[in-house]
Amino acid sequence: MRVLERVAALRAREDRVGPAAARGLGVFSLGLGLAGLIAPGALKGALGLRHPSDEVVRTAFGARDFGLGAALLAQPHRPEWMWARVAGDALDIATLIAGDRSDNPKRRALRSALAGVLAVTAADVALALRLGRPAPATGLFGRELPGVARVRGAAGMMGEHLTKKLHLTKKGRLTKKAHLVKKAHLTNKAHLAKKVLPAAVLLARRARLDDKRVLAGGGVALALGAAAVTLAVLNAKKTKGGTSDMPQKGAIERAVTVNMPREALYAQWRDFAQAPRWMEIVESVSETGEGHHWVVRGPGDKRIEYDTVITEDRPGEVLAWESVKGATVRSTNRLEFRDAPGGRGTEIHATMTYHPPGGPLGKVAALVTQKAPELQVRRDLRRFKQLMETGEIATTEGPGAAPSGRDKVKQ
Amino acid sequence: MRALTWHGKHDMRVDTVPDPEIVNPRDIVIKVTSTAICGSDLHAYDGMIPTFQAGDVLGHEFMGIVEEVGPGVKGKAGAPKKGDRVIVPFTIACGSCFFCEKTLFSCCDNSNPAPNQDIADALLGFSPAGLFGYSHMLGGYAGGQAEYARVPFGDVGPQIIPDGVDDDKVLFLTDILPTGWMAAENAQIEPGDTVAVWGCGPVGLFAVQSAFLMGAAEVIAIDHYPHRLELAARFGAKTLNFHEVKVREALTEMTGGRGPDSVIDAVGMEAHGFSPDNLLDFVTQELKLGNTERPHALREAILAVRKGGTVSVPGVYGGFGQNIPLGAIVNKGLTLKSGQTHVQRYTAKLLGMILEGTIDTTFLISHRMSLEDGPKGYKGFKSEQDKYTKVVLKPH
Ligand SMILES: NC(=O)c1ccc[n+]([C@@H]2O[C@H](COP(=O)([O-])OP(=O)(O)OC[C@H]3O[C@@H](n4cnc5c(N)ncnc54)[C@H](O)[C@@H]3O)[C@@H](O)[C@H]2O)c1
Ligand SMILES: [Zn+2]
Ligand SMILES: [Zn+2]
Repeated sequence: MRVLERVAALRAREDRVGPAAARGLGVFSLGLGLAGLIAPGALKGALGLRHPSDEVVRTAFGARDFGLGAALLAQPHRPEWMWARVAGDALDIATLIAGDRSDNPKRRALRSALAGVLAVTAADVALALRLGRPAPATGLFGRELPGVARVRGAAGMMGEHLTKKLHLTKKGRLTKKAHLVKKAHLTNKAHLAKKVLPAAVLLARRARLDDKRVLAGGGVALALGAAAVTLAVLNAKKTKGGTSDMPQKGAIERAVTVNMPREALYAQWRDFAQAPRWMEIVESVSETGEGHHWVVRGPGDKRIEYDTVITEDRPGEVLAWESVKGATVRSTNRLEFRDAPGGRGTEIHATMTYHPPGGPLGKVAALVTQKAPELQVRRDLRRFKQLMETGEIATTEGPGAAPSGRDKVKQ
Repeated sequence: MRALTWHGKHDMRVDTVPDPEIVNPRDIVIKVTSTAICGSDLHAYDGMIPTFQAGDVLGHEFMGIVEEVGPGVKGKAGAPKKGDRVIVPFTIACGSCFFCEKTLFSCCDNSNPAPNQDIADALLGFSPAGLFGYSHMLGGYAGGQAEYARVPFGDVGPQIIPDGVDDDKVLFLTDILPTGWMAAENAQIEPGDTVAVWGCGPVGLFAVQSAFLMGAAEVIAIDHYPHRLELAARFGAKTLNFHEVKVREALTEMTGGRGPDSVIDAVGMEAHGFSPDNLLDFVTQELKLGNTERPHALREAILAVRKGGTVSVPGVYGGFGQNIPLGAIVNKGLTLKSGQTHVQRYTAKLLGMILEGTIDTTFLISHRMSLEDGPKGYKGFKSEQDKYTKVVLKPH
């Protein structure tokens, strides 16, 4: 098999070859993507493909190539981008095969393009496999989260986000902002699906009936596409479920069970000045008279300050606070302390909404720098539990905590 | 200090790294006097365990002298003091969470740092305990194949060793002895049972001994290294060399057509042998085609065990395997038990048995080396398994 030979050949080379080749493919992708974005019609026209009206698809193809190119250039070590490329290749192959008709005047050009894409696909697969090998990892984002988990985490968060937006839409309670977000997230997907499917049907119909290859290829592509869209829609319709009494719009919900009575946990949290011990990005909390003044580290370690007031305070049961009107950070926070069944300590149910400054860009920045609210809530609750159950917070940060060959000492 | 560090597949080095310190109140720091290489370390050595990073200090079987004690340990009744000699369980456990209270120490909720738990959540559903020197998914703690080691929850894990007992005798309390013991316990052995054990490495050999101590009438040990099989035979096991016999047929024959009552997979994710299923696993595992395991021994064990029998799995698996005979589990009504060992549950009891002379531990050790020779130790333990049954490193 070609692919296997390639893999073997590639593996025999230096470790640096993989990322270098990935970078090369990145440039190639960037070029293709630019062409697709700037002159989508020309590219398709040159190959005699007949759906110039399908703007979404053309732009999507261009954007895909451009994005992946940029990703590969930025992170040539990451196999995920290569696998994304392989998935893209599959789409290209399907499109090209569908265009391989006797009445296509550019059939020869198309066939050489197809050959090219097949070769690139083989190279992509080989590289993706090679990059996927365990190599000395030096994460681009520091050492706590390796690539796979990060991508998974990010995908999960995006999914969650989308889920909530969909849920909102269904209930028909659309605020202006939600409407915009809906437009950004949902309609894009829906539009894409709406345009891709008819295009595929069209292409399939135009295929000559005796051309079994086209029919088979188109059929498989169609089935896969339809299945993917169906699954995505079904998944997006699911709500998070759970037992929270007060689901809030766009809220982050997370629960943790602590092996201690409610009162002690409430009392610890009520002492807001202590929060920096378990809330990672919080630098300090001080009393203001009406409430509290928070200093937190945002993306890029930028200091963000805002004030909050307590909105509900039932000792041992509920503690809620939110940012004051006009604060840079808009947030609402509610902790509910409930007895776990069977005398197994206390369930803390946290419900938070958090809008960091900077709008959507701020959110992306937060995600990339591991300061996303979802992630912080999750980890802060774990740290709080550790502090309460063990009197300390587990850590392997810093050479004194976990000496490593990365912090080699010069002799 | 000097430490044995992982730098990628089959690339171990000895580096000079910063000294460990007391970071949390319940930490202690020990001066390592003996540390061993484990079969689990070989999975890391082979690059099979995800989330290792270049420079990580390996080693989770270690003991030594308490050098420094954190304020949360100092003066606590029963806790180690400066100068005490202790063995350190490879599972880090807080002692006070729901799981520790149930003595499920390797499932401790609190010993894996909050960010590292995210990785484990994604791969396993929930995060288990942190382990020494065993990937960032499991905490990113520095291991004990070093001159010194930081030990969190020093008041819970470490077991004080009385004076006059050799390191060699008690070192394996840190992992493989309790692991073999728990493997036998998980096999739910009843008096008169026949137990089959796949793998005659340290874990398998301790499982053989433990199974007899728990009342097994017969133990059948399976491997392909003559010397390792011979060690099993020394404890009274019948042996099968899988290069010479068809294991399942032989087992059925040896048990009068019934099959063993309990089976123990002490092989784990890197089974040897040229059976077609193992070769397929090998290819898909190497190419990372959705498969991370070579569970040939587990498959064979599940098929070989008698109806209503128990499958105990101390062998380590890391991710997602394929072609597990689920039909046999359901239709034969099997019980499956597994886990990283809850070491803290067993240390005191097994120490007692060692001191009484009920359990032999030193027979295993084939090589003693300096820390500087550590990379050689890995190489030998990996590629000359018949000669290298257990490597002990002496860092000082
Ligand atoms: N659960 C735990 O807490 C725990 C603790 C320690 C070790 N382990 C695991 O236990 C396993 C064994 O550890 P070890 O230190 O004994 O390792 P080891 O590598 O020394 O021994 C494994 C043995 O299995 C044999 N083997 C390989 N393929 C076989 C097959 N198809 N059939 C029969 N035997 C086969 C090998 O020849 C070898 O002798 C490893 O997976 C290790 O990670 C688990
Ligand atoms: Zn081990
Ligand atoms: Zn615990």
